[in-house]
Amino acid sequence: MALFRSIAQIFQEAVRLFSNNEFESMRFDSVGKSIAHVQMSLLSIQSPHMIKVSNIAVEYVDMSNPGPLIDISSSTLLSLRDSSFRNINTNSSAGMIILASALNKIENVTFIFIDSESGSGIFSLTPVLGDYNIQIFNSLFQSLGFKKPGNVIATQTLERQQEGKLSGYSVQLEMQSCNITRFVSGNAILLSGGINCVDCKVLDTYIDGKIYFGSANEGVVTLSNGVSGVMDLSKITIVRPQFVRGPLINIVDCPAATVILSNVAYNGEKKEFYLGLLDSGKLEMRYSNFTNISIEKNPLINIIPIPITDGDGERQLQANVRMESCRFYNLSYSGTSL
Amino acid sequence: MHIEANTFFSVKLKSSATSSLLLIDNFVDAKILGNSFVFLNGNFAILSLPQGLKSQSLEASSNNIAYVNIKGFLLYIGESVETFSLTRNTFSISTFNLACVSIDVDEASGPWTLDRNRFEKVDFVFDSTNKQGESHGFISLYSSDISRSSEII
Repeated sequence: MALFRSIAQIFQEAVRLFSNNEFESMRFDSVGKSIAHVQMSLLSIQSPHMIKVSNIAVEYVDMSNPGPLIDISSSTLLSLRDSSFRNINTNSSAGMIILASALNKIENVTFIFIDSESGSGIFSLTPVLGDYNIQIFNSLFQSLGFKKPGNVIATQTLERQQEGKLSGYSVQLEMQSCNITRFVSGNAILLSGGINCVDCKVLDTYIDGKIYFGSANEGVVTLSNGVSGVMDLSKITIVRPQFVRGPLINIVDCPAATVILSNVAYNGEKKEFYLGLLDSGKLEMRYSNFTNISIEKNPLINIIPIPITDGDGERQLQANVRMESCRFYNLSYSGTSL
Repeated sequence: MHIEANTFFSVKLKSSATSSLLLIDNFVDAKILGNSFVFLNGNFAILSLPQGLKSQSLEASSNNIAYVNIKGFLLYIGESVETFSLTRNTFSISTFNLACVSIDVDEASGPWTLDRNRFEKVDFVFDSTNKQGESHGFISLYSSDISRSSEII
């Protein structure tokens, strides 16, 4: 509830409206002596305001410099809706859009043909003011090409000192009725750095075709480096992904994290396929259908115990998997065990 | 103060001391409406407001900016501004090398509006010899404090 404590207060604050603007065929570049560290943005709002962005169209933007396209990281509330971003070449290692703290409502937003040299991806969460609440509804992410692993949504390391102890920020994430298609390299969702998932869920989302996960830490969802709490994935349809090494679900070094897959429909074929790759945490799969999976050597779920040393001596960190009422159709497998 | 329906065509400012085509020293309400700025070239902004101003409203609407190669359209570093409006302006085939719009104030009571502007074939080529720093926005809005009594839209 602390997450929402200040929401009413936020609505009392001033509003910045940014609507119905069109940006077409823009180029961002720099000249001069110290161009290497110049970060350039289309829109930079550094003030503790409520920002409403709607009906904007941004097309054919070429950004040579490493700034985010939109930086609203100091704001208390962002509403981004009914807007499109097309044919954008970004070179930002910090993400294309740096989200505000507190409440972010993103609805009916289209991202098509986004290329990134430096990875990091579309939305990047950087804490300035505190905990996050992110809602992404009815949005399309199509033809995202990240030359280094990028993510639709990613957190940076979110740790803070609280009463002398290091603790993570809380993130409440809701992604619903989104479409992610033709996605190259990275994660749909990457949460890392000690954050606490509070009511995180992805619902009714369609992930379709030519999704290329290039390394072991890339997948539909990756939790790493001390994420805790529950990530609930429900009614997700995944069709024709092209896994190279990455898993559907990836849990690395998150003993207090749980991922729940329920009512997931997966239809794909790849010889090196992982449904889950985890060294810790808990993966629960319920009422899901997995169709047309052909695996030659990897297990469907790969649990990699890792030894850790703490005050009790050396022990193994063990992941936990639970399957309930899942169906596997046309499963072709030549390994030793699932 | 109104600056309305004027045409500035083919203006080149050579003096390095000149920072602005329009330099407004003092105003309460400023309106820049329906002007045309075409073929401007130089190290200046179209409109800049000196530091230390407390302004109630600032509005730039329905202006046409084309074929310019300048520092910026509107640059304002002041103490405060209550309402700011940038609406229905057209920017085309131009290059800005500091910022297109930059508002930097200590206090703001809002609302600020940027609505129905069109930017087409506009380059933002930052000249780092103008100003050293890390982060620069084509449209940059900054205020460190806001009033909590502003009206909600």
